[in-house]
Amino acid sequence: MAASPGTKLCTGMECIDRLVGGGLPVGGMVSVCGPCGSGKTFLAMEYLLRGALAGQRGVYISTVHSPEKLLASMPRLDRAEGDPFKDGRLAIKHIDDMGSGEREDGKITRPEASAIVEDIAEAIDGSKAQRLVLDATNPLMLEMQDWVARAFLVSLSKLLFKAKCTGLLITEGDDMQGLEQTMADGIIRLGTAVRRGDNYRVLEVVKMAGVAHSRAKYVMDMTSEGILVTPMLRGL
Amino acid sequence: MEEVAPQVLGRLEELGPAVSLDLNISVEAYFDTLTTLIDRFCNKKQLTCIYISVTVPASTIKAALGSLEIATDRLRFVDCISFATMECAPSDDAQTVFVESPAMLEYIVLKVEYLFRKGKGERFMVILDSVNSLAAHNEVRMLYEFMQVLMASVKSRGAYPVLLSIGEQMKPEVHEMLQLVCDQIITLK
Repeated sequence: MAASPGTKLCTGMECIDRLVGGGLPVGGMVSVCGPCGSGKTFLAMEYLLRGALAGQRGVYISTVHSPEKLLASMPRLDRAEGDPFKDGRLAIKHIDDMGSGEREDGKITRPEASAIVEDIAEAIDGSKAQRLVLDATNPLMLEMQDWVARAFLVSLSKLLFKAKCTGLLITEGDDMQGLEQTMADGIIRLGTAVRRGDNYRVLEVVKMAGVAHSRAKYVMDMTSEGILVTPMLRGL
Repeated sequence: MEEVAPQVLGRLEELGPAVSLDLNISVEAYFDTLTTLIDRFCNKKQLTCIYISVTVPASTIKAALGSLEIATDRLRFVDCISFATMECAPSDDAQTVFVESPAMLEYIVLKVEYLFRKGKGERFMVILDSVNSLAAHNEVRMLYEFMQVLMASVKSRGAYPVLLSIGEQMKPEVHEMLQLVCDQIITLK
């Protein structure tokens, strides 16, 4: 059964839930974008770990690092019980193990893009996942012509909605004009703000379908209690 | 000079938690005030003390309290000065979290919040040492906004918020700001 419009997934991350009025749209596809070192992967990992703590299974699909490397650098949250990757609550997969690997002139063909989506569907169904992370979309999009990338994202969006699985698409860079942002149900932008020579990690919700969300900039800190945020001071 | 301890303890008992209190002290009363707050109030009441150090590095305060055989196991530091002086050693001290600069006010709020969460179920006092040092690194308008956010956060946790300020070194605009954000200002004589 497909997700009902208007229902929300409480992520368990206060930094997100508070800013978007309770949670992300169930079965939605949310883009998390930002430059290197802005905390995208940390946010994605916390999203899955909080889900596991609440009994929700999740799948992390990497297009960059190997599962072994990701597991070695996994953030540790206080009060987390057991290892959700060992006991099966969470799974890590690499995109190279999905589809057939077939390329035409170095590009992913339309049938190959469909095969990747089918394998993602299998990963979601197999583990009954309610949360998905695709980190990062850039290498995948680089291998696709625009029309194939669009078809891939449309199929992924439909799949997530049908499976009631809420997905985060992690995108490297400040560019908000990408296909991922155009087609996403929500956009969370991470970045760096500079004030008097000091660098601040910042988070803002640019778009979230169907909810009145905060538009303010928040300073964020990545801690063993998860991501914490506070409004950026203006000194007005 | 009257003894500091009875004045501080009496007023804290009278006001209770979640009331923001500025202790306007002289330089001579600084250390007596600290030991009173930490040893005779926090330790006695079994409160966890979150100490925001902007004037002196956390390690120095801890060493000074240690030399007086005052228990420091309930102390948690938000050290805003050691990074700037390149004296921090984060891995050495589980009781201390660091903020890179006293001008990064949002991170002070976030580190205090982090310590609240780490100490889930504990009762807290939050000491800001000092308003003068923070004012040296920040514009008053920014400081005002920061104080409002910090005080709201501390009060919502039911903690005791205590600000230390040195009267003789204070700019008039900082004093005005304190009058706006503090529920009580006490000048210790």
